[in-house]
Amino acid sequence: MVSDTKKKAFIESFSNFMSDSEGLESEDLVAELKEQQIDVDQLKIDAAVAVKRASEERRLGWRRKAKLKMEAIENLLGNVQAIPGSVINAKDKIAAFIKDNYGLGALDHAEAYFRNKGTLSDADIIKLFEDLEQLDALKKSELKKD
Amino acid sequence: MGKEDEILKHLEAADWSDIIIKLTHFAHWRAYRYKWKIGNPDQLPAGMTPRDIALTAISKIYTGTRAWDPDKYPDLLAHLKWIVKSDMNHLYTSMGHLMSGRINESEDQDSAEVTYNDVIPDPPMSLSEPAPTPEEQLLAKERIEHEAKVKEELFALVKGDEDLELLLLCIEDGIDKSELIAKEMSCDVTKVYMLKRKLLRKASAINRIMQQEQ
Repeated sequence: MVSDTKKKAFIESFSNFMSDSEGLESEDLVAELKEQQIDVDQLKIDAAVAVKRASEERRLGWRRKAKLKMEAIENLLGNVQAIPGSVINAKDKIAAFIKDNYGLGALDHAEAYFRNKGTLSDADIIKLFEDLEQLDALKKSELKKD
Repeated sequence: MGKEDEILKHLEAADWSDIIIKLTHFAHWRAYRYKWKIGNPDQLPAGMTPRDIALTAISKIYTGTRAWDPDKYPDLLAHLKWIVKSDMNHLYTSMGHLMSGRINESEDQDSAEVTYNDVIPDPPMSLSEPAPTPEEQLLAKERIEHEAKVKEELFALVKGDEDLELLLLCIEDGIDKSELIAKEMSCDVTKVYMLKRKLLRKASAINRIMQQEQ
């Protein structure tokens, strides 16, 4: 194959060698970036801002996805006949979770779901539970921030 | 723990101050591999700089615009470098820079990073390529002249330092991994790292050489 035997061009090799930071200390890189007229302190601040903003975006995105997933599972729950015996424990955990977080009224609502379940898989139930837990953890962390 | 949670935990535990420095350093040197129409690898098209590309890569991995599976690719920095490579290549191709041709064409054949899902495209290299147009021939000639000039001036810059001269000879032979250079120079790899540090201290002079007639 031609590409296997082709010698790399000089600039390509030089760029590869120089771009690899292995074996270099942080101060070497900082000094080099300063030589490139890059304000390293500002660069670190910009990275922290980008991380914070992107982290919030990711959490919001995840919450949107979790809500959609929950809606889909709720629809699924509404269309099935009975819950499999093997997931009774998970069902109880979900019911307890709903009762603790949304009150007795919501528990009645939740129990109405479980009266009409059919072919719901263990994985669906467990995933729903995980989603509810994550959503709750997210809400709590946001409350803390406020 | 859910996958989403696991990824977020990895990202939140990362040392971003250290990563951004290494990634900007990588993006800066990576930009020299392309022949930018604008003429300066520090001023890329669309008002971007290598620094911007590094910051954008971080945002992309965080927001999930670029997926990251820590189980498959545990080295976060390597994954970010791959995003920088891919984005820089995309910036280059999307801005009509293909007309000017790339400085090099044997993209990282020996790099483990090309095992990632999205392979960064390279210009075709097979023997059955159509004959170059007069414009391509001219660009190829310019590229060869640019390479020769850069090489000559880099050798002039390190003249008198036998170790650096030997290092550049290895690079001229296409050997660009520190471990392989150490083997070629019959020395310990730490000596190669030390030589790289020496070169970094000449970064502004090297920049001037690399940027000429870009």
